[in-house]
Amino acid sequence: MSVLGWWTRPGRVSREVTEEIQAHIDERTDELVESGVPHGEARRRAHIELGSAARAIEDSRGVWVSRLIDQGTREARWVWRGLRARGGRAVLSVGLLAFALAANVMVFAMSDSLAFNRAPYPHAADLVQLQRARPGGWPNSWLSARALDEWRHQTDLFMSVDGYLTGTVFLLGGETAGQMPIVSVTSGLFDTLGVQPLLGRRFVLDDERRVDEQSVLIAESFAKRRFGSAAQSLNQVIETTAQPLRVVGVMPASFEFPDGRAQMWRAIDPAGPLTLGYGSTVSSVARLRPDVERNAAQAVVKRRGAAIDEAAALSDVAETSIAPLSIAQTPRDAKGVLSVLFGAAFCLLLTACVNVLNLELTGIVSRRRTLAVQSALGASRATLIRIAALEGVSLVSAATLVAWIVATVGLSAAGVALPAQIRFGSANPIDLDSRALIYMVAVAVLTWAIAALPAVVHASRLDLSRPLKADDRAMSPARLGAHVRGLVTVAQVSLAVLLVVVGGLYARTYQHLLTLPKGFDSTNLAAISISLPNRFYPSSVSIWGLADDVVARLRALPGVEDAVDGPAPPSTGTTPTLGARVGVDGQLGGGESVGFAITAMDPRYFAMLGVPLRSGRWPTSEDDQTAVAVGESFGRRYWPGGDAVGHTFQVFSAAGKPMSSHPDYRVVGVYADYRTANRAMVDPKILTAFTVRRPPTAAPPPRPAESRAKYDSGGSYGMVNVLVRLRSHDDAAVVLAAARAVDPRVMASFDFVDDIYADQQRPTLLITRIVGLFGVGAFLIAMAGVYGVMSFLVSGRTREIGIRMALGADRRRIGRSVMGSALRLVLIGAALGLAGAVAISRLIASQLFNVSPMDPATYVTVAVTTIATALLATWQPMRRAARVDPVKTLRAE
Amino acid sequence: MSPADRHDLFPGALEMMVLQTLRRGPQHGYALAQAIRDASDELVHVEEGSLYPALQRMLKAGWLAAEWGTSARNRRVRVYRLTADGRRQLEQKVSSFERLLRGITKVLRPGES
Repeated sequence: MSVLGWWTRPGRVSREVTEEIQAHIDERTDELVESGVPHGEARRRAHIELGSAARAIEDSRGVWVSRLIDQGTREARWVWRGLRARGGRAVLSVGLLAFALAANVMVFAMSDSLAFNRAPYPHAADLVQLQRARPGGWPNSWLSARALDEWRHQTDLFMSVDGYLTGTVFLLGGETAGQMPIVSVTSGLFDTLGVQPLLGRRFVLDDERRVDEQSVLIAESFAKRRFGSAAQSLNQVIETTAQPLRVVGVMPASFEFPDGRAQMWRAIDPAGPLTLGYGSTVSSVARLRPDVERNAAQAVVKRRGAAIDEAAALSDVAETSIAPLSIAQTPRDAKGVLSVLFGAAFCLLLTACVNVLNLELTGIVSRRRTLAVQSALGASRATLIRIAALEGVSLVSAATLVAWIVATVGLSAAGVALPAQIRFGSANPIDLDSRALIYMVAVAVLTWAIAALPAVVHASRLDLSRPLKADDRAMSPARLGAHVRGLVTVAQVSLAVLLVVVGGLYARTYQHLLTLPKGFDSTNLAAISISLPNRFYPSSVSIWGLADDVVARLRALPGVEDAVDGPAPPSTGTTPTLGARVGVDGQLGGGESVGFAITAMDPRYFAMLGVPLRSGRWPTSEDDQTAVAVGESFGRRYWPGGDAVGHTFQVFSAAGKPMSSHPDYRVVGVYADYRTANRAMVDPKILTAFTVRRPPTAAPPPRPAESRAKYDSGGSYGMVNVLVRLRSHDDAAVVLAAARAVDPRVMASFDFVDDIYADQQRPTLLITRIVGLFGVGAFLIAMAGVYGVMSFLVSGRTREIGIRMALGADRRRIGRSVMGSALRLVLIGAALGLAGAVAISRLIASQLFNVSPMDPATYVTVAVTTIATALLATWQPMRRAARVDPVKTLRAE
Repeated sequence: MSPADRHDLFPGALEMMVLQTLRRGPQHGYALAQAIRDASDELVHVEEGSLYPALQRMLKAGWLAAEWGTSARNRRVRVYRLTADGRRQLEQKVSSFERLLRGITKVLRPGES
């Protein structure tokens, strides 16, 4: 029998047997009538002889269905009726839960990508990186080709050891021309990760040795963009400013390594010229043998490290260890942010659950009669409880399904809106993978337990004999579970208030961060960054030549006030040397270790920024490289109470040895601090000094990268940054076009400095928006809850109010009493929420800025808004109570 | 609990009587009930309603086939006939019933036979 037949057969059998039995009775009746029995009597006897027709039909039908299925369909019908009886409430419940569940799973997907550090590769627990740490220094995962080789020989520990480097390459031709991130990998890396290309092949050792071209695997999305489809891209050549890239395979869209930015992976020889620019090292990825336990491996690696360093001819002293493969470059404070989001999403879920619970409890009261009838019809208590439970399961399942759709849509929409460091920040993309699914199911079960289970328990305790015996008045619904609903409302309000306060604190933080003084005039100030392909700009002379060219052209534009070769703040243009110590006037005190950055700058730079001098003068082109200007915080730190001008300082290594790369510096000027840090004027751990930029001579000092690499990897040695002040915002396009016109082979980008500063605060803006959204959502849910409870209580008290009025009670007093009972709930809830916020805000204090965790403005605003909104929510039920007509109410008795 | 038990028939008795009756030719439900009543000289009383679930059971087992036809009084009725399977069933049931009956008789009248 077909599935359809299997379902429809019992119904057909019922109809057919009914017809047969009818014929049976008619035949018997006719026969009796023919033998002289009166018609009515004949019919009666025919029925008696037949027995129960209903049972005969039911039993006939039962032949074709198993009892279980029959009972199942009946209960399913009851569940469906139960859901239908909820009407709009069911839709509301599903909507609320779906909103909250979607929020939770989206936050989970973000955390899973950024914070949980779970590599999305097969058997990722066995993937590690080898890292070396010098005494007192940070560990890094760079290995020389020889060290890589030595570790590959440790086959008792590792299945394989591979390496990679991240960089960029200039592509030529097609719409995808321009600078692209590219990952250079040793040929075994994909085997080590345990991933397969979607099309084509993995790298083989020969790919590392190619000279005329490089083998490359490309991402599916890139293949589609450049070649139309993945299949068409196979074996194609991508021209670059260096060696052409030959596509040997396409990686599936889900593959990301080492993070979401990479779209091309090329095979390189770790001992070849391409690693020269990286000190001939690669970052390592190793796969432990499955039978080797990680702690045991750690001990062995530490023991063997020194011998392997010696074999690899490494002269520096360092300890080697293994660490889990890190797949996300997530700043540490981002984890704090994510835990706040987790908490916020969970609060939202609790609020929604509690609201749905409220609706469910209300529903049970109004459905007592149905339950009682079903019970009288022979449904056992267990059956009724099962049905009630199934109704809850259906609601939560529907909500989960909707939430999954919402989250899918939401994440793809959010993908565009998220800052790049979050969106591409991990090899584990922000998506709804199997782990998200498991999490979703777990949260859905919890949701059911909170939102639906208590109502089931409540239903199981109902005395179902009473509604049929007496009328409903005996157990006024208002009395039934009024305490529970009161508690539920308090819980809702407190969670919502908590969320809104936290959201408010973040909003104030964002506001403060945006309005932080910069210490310079950023009006119409913009930065132009130009990436130069090695091939066309192989030397410092050519790079500086381009910079001067761009500056000259921009200054000639009518829309440009001024332009200068220099970095856009907050960058100072130089990577600081970490682990330095500063000695003052020839004396190395006990100073802590800091980062030190010295930047050579065009003397016009500070004038253009508008940073004022506090004392002394700016270095000029008459000065040599030892004359520096320092910030006032630098000056205060080393020459407290005095003027730094005229003093000297020296830079030492952490071990206290003078650093040969730094001469004795002489302070010629002290300038007012301007903002170079994210949440403060300056980072106290980084010291910055400026010397004068020497004009290019015939033999300029080589740029560091240039001296290391004579080999063109297709990337860029460096960038030219030009700071430009426009006369108006509208000149942006003209200025960018002018910069690009200098050389169409370079990549130029344009950003207003104000936008660069605002961009730094995007993570704060993001968390403000998310917590704010959750908070507003929870707040609306809670207020809807207040409204629901109050209108329910009023409708339950109509009779009581009628009697009171008949006895002479004042309408205003009735209204006040309703309002009073609402306010009591809201005030308790708000107080608990504010207290909770005080407790929670201490935990997030480090994420706030210039805002006290107990910021009175936020707390007062939230409290006042809550009470005002609650009064608004109670307005309608209160009016309904005050308008109760005592005559009508009492007549209805 | 099968309907037959409720009316003092042992399990399968009703089926056996239906199959036996149908061996003489196709019959509709009411005629079957009449035939069983007449043949048993009204000694076996079957609540006629229980006949129909039994018919459905035998249809499902493939012992009977049914099609819609017309009764002598010109009513639309379903007419049942024995299938080959049903015929085999009947023989098996009758022989096992006879064995059972012989056994019971021996117990009830130990001296005879």
